[in-house]
Amino acid sequence: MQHLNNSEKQNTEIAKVFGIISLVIAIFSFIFSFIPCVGYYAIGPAVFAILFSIAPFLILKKAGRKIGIPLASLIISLVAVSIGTYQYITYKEVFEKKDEINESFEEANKKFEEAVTKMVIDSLEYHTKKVNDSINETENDSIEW
Amino acid sequence: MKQKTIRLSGNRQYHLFNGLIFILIAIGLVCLKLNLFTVQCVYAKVGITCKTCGITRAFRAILNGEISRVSNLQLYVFILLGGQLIIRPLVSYLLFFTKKHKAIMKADIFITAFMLIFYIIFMIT
Repeated sequence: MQHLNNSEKQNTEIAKVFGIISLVIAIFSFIFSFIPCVGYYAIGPAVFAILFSIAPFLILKKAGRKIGIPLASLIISLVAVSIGTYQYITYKEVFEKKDEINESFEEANKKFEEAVTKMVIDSLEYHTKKVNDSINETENDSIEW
Repeated sequence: MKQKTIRLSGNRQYHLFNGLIFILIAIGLVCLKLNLFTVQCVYAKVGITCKTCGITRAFRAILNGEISRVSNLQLYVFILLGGQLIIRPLVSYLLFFTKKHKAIMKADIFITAFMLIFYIIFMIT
């Protein structure tokens, strides 16, 4: 019985340590999630913190101990995930616009290339025709002569 | 045989929390100082500059003592993170050597929450 109590105590102590680690990760991801350009990277550590805080939360609740730290970690990481998701949506919009602009640039570039190629081909055809005509004329002149 | 269990009292939990934050920030700042990593802004690729663009460069400039080159927001974020290198050991020291544990913890939570709220306001506005 004593041994069982000891192992239970040890479990709750380990749960407390895990709770603190998850709280630290949650705070850092919360701070990171507010940065506009890289905020969505915070989703990863925040999800990690959620997973890390669920076990201590359940263990401490079962043991009838204070659940403040894992609960705080859970809430902070959930907030970090939602802010990170918002940042990701904003980021996605920006990059969709960037892709649209890139596509229009590529299309314009393609049209320009086609026009230039057509001009070059036309010019080549014209000059080839002119050269051929002059050759024919010379040949005709020489035959007549 | 009696099994030994290490108890994590309220203070010990606080020391662990302080220690972890101190170590993580210290590692981050050392990595910045030694140029071990760079974070590139994804908006910069499109040609848009965001509020925190150049924050890594600003942190490096502060670490090199060139404070005049950085903006208020960048300086504030540095104080928020770098300040923890002073606040965390100080709180642990006070908890260890004084008996007003609850008052110290409350003051620490209040100051940190205040700094975080200012950070959020800076970022949102």
